[in-house]
Amino acid sequence: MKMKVGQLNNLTEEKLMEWLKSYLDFGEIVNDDFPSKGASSWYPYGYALIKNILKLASNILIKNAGFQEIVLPSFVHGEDFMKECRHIKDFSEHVYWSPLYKEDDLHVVTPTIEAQLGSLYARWLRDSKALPYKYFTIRSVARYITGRTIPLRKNRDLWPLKLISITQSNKRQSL
Amino acid sequence: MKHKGSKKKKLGIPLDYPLPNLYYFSGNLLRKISRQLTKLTSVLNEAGFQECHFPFLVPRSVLLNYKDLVSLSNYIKVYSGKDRRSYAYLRPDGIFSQGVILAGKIIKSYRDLPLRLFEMSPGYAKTRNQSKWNVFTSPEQSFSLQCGIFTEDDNAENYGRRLLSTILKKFSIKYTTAETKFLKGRNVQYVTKINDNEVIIAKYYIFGREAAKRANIYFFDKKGRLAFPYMCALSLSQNILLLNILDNKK
Repeated sequence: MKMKVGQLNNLTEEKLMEWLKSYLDFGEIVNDDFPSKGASSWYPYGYALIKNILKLASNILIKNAGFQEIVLPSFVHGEDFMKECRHIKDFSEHVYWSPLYKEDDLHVVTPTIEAQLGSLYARWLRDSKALPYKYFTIRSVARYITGRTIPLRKNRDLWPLKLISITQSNKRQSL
Repeated sequence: MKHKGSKKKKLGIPLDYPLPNLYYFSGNLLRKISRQLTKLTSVLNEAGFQECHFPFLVPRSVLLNYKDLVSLSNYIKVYSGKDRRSYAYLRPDGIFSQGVILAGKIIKSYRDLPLRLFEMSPGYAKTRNQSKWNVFTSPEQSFSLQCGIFTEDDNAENYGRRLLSTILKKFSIKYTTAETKFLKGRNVQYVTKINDNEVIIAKYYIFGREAAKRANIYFFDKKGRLAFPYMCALSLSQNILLLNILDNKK
């Protein structure tokens, strides 16, 4: 789909997405032709590009702001997730559930990190680990999107997602 | 394998998580692991491998192509809150089910071969429904390395063998190899011994042209004829990284 730079402003959203998809594939950045809806794989050139960007961003966070990286598992326990679910309407319908250990004991494939970090922080506070907690993670998240999916923007299997969390003893410091 | 408490304290990071048999990594341990990962990537880059990324969810239809090669009961099912009937699987491996789809997009002619892809990053993981769990075999492995080698002739095995031996030499790990039959192919395992337990640290599968035919990967050779590439899949588990760190090897 060839077009000039000035033409991009006049495009409808549908045509713009078509253009984006074709150029991501043509430039060997992201392959959106994966058999499952809303999941895309990264070509070697695209991966090298995004890896350098992520490295730069995490170096700034570590050196300038004193953050630490954390790698969390892909599952949240159903009970922990339901605590977060109270604040967002119908969130439980838009995530992936899994019977990891038993059929009755359901787990959720992480849609965000809040539920995971909440359970970890509660444990650390009980063990009197000193505040503040400054962590970030780069990970893939799974959300069941029923509408149209867009690569890099609105996917069922979204990667990379950089999530940053700060926990302070008072509201003023955390802001 | 159970670790002594003193080694846990030395690292200063608990290897546990509120969920049973799943672990989180942070601080000193994660820094040590990332140092090992950069060491690994340098070896792979020297050997001509390219890093890429595959999605986390695998549709059932993709894995059904390989149902005579693998048992689906080992894989973890996921379904959405709205629709319980149509379920997918969480990724059991990188190259075997998904890498071939990407390779099919890249390989068009004999000039694109040999193609060497790998995937290794702490941000995403490989999951399996493991029957026995400990630090070395958890249902989720965050630092697993998956490689796929596609060649024109049957050199794929040589590439794989050479790469694994250089990696294990670099990490100074003693190992023995064991060969098993893998339905229509072969499976070579690299085994090491830790306190009376034998742990598989690496392995490679030789698929020949079987996997490429199933995934419909083809190319045109020098004479313009249609041909299928040979494929070898390689995997190195996170055991090797944890082993190195917990034993305080340099």
